[in-house]
Amino acid sequence: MTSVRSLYSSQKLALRYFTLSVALFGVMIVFGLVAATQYIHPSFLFPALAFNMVKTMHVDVLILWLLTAFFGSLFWLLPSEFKRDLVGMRAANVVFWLFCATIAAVALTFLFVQTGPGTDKTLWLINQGRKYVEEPRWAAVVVAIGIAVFVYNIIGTAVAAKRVTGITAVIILNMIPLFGLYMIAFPAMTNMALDQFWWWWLVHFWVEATWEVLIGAIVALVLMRVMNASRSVVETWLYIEVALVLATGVLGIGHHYFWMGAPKYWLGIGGFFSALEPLPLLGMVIHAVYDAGEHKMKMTNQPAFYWTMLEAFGNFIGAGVWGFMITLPQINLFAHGTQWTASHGHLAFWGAYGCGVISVIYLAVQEAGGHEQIGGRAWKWAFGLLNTGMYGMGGSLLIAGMAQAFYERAIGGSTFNAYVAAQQTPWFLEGIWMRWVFGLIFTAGYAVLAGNLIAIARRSRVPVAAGTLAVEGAGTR
Amino acid sequence: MTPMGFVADAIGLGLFALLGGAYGLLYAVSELRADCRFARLALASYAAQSAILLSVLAFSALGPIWKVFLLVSGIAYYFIPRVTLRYLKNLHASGEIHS
Amino acid sequence: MYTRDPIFWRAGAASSLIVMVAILIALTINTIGVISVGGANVPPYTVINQAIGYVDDDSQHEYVPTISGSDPLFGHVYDERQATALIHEGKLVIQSRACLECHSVFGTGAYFAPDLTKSWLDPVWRQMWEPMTQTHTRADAMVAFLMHPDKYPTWTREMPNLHLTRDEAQAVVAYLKWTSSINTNGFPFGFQADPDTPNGKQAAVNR
Repeated sequence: MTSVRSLYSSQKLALRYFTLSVALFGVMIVFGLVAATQYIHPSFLFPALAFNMVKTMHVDVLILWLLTAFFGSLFWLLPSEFKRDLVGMRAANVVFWLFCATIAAVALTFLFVQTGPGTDKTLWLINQGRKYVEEPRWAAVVVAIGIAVFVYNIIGTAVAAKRVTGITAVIILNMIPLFGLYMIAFPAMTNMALDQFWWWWLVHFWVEATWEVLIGAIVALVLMRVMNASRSVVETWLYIEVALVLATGVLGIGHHYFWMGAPKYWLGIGGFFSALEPLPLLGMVIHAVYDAGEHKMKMTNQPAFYWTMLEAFGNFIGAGVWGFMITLPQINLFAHGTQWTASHGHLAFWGAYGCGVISVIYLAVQEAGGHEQIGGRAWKWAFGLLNTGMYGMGGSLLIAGMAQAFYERAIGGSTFNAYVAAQQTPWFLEGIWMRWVFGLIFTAGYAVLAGNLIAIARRSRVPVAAGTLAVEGAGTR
Repeated sequence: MTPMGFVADAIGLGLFALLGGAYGLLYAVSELRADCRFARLALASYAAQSAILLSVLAFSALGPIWKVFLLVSGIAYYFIPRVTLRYLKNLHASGEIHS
Repeated sequence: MYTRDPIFWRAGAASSLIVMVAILIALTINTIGVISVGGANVPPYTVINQAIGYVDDDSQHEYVPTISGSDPLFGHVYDERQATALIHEGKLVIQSRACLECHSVFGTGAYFAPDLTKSWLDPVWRQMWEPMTQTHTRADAMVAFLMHPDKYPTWTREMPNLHLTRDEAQAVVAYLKWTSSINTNGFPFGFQADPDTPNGKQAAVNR
């Protein structure tokens, strides 16, 4: 993507990452729809593409579109923090294309080879079969190298610039566990209890600690850009956020250790700390309302602003409310491992990360194109459809999950027959159908979002003088 | 815990958190707009949250420690929006002086 | 005021990280001991030679696994080395066939197919699969099903044929038998197990 403004080379790479991220977002939705269809018509694409591989694609691409968007966000935002281009950009560009090739190769492997004999060779070449880190080990090595180069880009730049702000310090310190924890993507421990114990370090501390801190830092940078918020205020708030995330989130990992063989004390520790998690999220909601009230008038990028606001609310709903329903051990005993969990997962990922990432992408297309103002109707449709779709899916899965937890877990005793019976109750089936319908609405929202982003990016190819005119163009007023 | 009891508890806890969020949101809006209609809605949300809390405390089979925890967090919900908002106002006021 | 000073909160973030991570490390060291093979909650792999059950323990108000008398798997008694090798192979098969992208173990995985935590003890093997596969023990019924799931469709959602060899299927069965012996704090609740019966009685119950 070329642009009319002079961009730092890391920002050019950021635009490539955003393009990849938005494309992957679409791929994730396609496989989500296929999986949703298979719940209704199990014979759909069976056995050529059974649910296991569809689901693998859905969750792996979820991680990838968010991770690539994080890369893009930092490549976009950091040059102005460091007052210079990022170092090691040649390596970073190689990594980008390496990522593209690896993603394509792994996708082809998952779709056409799928599984292999029970040997280490299969884990290296075909499929590791561990949730979220199914990619074969060779691909995990590429991802690890990519993250390492990324860490170098950021730390190297800080060293070269001899300048570390509070926000960049947080980002740099956060990169170390982000990379270190990924090493858990490799082992294949025989003992499932130990395997899951460490696997949760990767999943929980990525999603509920390092990513949480990263998105906090990214949003801090966005707030400074979109609202001219003062640095000392933004940094103070970021530190508070980090302190609260770590105070509740580190031992909050215990809510994953209830039922996998670990000692009983995790029931109390995990329940307590994860039940505290809604409280800081409530603080974020108050902050969002405050910012909205203070800065509404000065806003030049409506979509970026509203997606940022929604991140606070969505995080409270998805992680806070949905999490609080099921996090106490007495309730989790029944709700754990049902569609209820899936409902929580969808809403939490969307609120905590999806919305924030979309906001940065809108900011980037605005700045890249030199648009003074971004607005119009298309983004509102995308916003409305995506959120109707997502919260509709969350609600549908909640109903299905409650039915499953009630009939299979609480009454039926979780046997095979109890499972099958619960999956055929009207409540469950209606929930699964509604999820599919809302999935289509979500897909429509994605189509509008992608179209809108492409339209804004296209307009930026017009010479600068037309930049102000372009604002008046189709779909933007 | 009975099957119906656990579903009721889960719904109760979800509503508890949701109404706490609604209270915080409405309270912040009412303060920023100096609009007493929102203030009344905020109070109504908190009252509803407290009612849910009391029924969970009265009817749930959750252990006593969890009930104490819920009671304390119910009280915390009342103060968090107030403290946060006052803090934010002070912070921004001092931030604007510095920058 | 100090609460408006970023340094105050930076110190707060650093100290909460240090304190929480220190507690986490201490708990982790303890937990690793409990969940290692042979630890308090996770029996050694040779447990596959024994009869396993799952009962409601009134004193603890939760379901707990029971281990009693000998009940050899596939008619073998595995020594420690053999059992470890077999279970290790089982884990590799479970990963390489992406089992947990439909099923779950300890409730973690996917929800398109039943949880496998206590599947070894599921009465459905005796009730449905033994007659269907014309086998006489649940271990054999599981092997027959795992090798050719397409031959024994159970309901609208079918399991794909993942081309397990007999050795691989046996390894998975061993893995699931061992998994069912792990103490999971009462998860899943209310599971009406079909317990193994120690050697002497087995002939009678298993025909």
